[in-house]
Amino acid sequence: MGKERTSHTAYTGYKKKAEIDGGATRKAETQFRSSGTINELVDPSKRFDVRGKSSMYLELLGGTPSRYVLKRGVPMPTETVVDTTGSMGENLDIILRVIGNTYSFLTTGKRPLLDRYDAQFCIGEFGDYKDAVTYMSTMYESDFKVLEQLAMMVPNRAGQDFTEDPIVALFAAAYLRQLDITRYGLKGYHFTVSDADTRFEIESSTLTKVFGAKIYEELAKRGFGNITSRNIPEGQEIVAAMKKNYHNFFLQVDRESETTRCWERLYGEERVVSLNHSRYLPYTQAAIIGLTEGNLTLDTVVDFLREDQSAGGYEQTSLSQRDAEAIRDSVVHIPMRAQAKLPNFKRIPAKLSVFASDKDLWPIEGESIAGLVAAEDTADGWL
Amino acid sequence: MKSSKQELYIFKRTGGLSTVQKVLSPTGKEYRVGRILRKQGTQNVYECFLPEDRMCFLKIVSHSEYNDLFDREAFVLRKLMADAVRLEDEFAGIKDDPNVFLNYQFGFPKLEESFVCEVQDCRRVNIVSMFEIADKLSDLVPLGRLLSKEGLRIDPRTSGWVLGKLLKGIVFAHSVGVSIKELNGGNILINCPATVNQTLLAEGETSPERHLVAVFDWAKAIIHRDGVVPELDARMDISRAAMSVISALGGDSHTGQLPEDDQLVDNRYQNFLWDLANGAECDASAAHKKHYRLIWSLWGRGFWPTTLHKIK
Repeated sequence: MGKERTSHTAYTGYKKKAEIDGGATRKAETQFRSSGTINELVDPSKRFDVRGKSSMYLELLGGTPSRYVLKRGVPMPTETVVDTTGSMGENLDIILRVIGNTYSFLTTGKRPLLDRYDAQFCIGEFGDYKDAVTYMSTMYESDFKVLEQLAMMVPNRAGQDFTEDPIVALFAAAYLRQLDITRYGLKGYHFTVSDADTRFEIESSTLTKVFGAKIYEELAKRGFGNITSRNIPEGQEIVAAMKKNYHNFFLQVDRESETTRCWERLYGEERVVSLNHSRYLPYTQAAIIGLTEGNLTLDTVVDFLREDQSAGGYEQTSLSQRDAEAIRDSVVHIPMRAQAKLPNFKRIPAKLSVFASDKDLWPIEGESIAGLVAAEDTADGWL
Repeated sequence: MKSSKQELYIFKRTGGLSTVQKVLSPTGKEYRVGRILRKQGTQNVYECFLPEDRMCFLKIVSHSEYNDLFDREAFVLRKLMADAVRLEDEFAGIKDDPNVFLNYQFGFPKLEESFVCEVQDCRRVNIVSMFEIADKLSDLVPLGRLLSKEGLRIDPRTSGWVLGKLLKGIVFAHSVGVSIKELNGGNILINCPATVNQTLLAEGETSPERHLVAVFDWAKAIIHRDGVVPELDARMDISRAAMSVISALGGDSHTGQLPEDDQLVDNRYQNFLWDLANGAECDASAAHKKHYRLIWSLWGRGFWPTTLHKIK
């Protein structure tokens, strides 16, 4: 039988390992300090394509004519990039501790918000352009491989100036992503978590440091040949390109007003959300995604966040009524049902839709696995 | 293994149907061959008797080019039996109640012998028995025949144990790396001295131990590499099992709609079957647990005799 793609056993294993190692990324940090090397799975300069092996997967069903089935649904990318400088240095450890709740809310719990898709997760971290590590990220994975890769990352921890450079992560989201969901006219979800403002400009030296010398060649291949070392887009232009791929949100830790103003200028007021602490990340993300997908409303979000999701297989940190209401209050202003209003929202191929070819975008209307099974030749031959 | 006895023959070449013949296998066992039971493109199945008059089945491929099907079937059946015995032994070491058994071996025929019959154009023969499942041939019914030949549908509570046993068989097969493939009304046999329109026909009630479901033919089963059944294969096995049960219930194979029945107070059971038929589950063990949770909540636990109704 197929293996569990997300399992409590695997998750507990990763948490235990982190405990033993003294931190989720301790080993990777030690290696980086001694040899300066990073695992290529999380090094953007070693690979441009962040799609995991489980990206939109069609498998031959067999029969004549051939048929393909969309096994897990259309991939829905959810990318979270976190500040790991200064006081934010523990964010990757926090993510490891709370991601079980994320899976419960979005994929495995009682009423998973992204159940109609193949939800895939990518975790990134960023610092300052002067840091040894300005940006790195995992691949997009449907299962706990993402935690395996999280353990390979190297958080910055040290803080130099206040302003950081998540703009590099936004650049990647804008120009270095090929998302299947956008072929249907829908978008993924992108969350930036920080307490700091961002620079709007990127130096060419930063781009080549992070993404390697071939970055401009790669951008040209992807249709962005206008981006050269002398012509690098800035802040709002990057965000405008990013919005084609993602519903983007900035989750602000602390209430530094300069930070708020910066991100409101960049993203728009409706996409800046307060986050009391990184441990509330799964709840805030669930509220945002649920309201954007339209499967939650402001009436139902509080009860949903407090619902027992342990059917999903993960222990759930219980949320008080007050905290749940605070999270609801923090998202009242976001563009609700922004995904649900997109033209093809209702037409997205369902899991197990049947296709004539693995190149097709849309399934064969009226065909289903049950229909194929019902049509199988069952002349039994008994006399 | 080739037969070394030139005087052995199974069937007269007149029309391919046999009167009683004798077969002596390479191991020296003598089988009496009776009437033909099943005719398919790749194989025929005959009634067959072991020396002690116990009835079994003689399966022979229709052409030697299909020998590999029975070669593989024999391998699969031997493997399943070995795994069933092994698991039963392991279970014996940990169970609390000595009267509880896994009984996985009831879900498939026992391979008595497999050989290539030289005098029959070197076609492969598999001799299989189902003594554990039924005393008489007439007690074994292909699930699909109830409707197609007799115009009878099973009632939902009967389908509850049929699907439960089927899923148990799938759990076992998948756990040892085998996907079944041929899960349809013609290949699923149930032990069915049945009631019709709730009038008891057989003497006495059917005892719980005799609520047995077996998959007859395993020629298309696949033993997967590394002992892991791929997700899609697992899903399709479960889907086919559910579809077979929907059909046996008299349901619509295009919509999953079941006939009205007092036992169906809401749509939960219908929806569950239809979800399974549409490939919603790839984990047979999870499907098995969900199934029993559902039917126990609908109808309680406890024995339910096989009950059939005439299709209106």
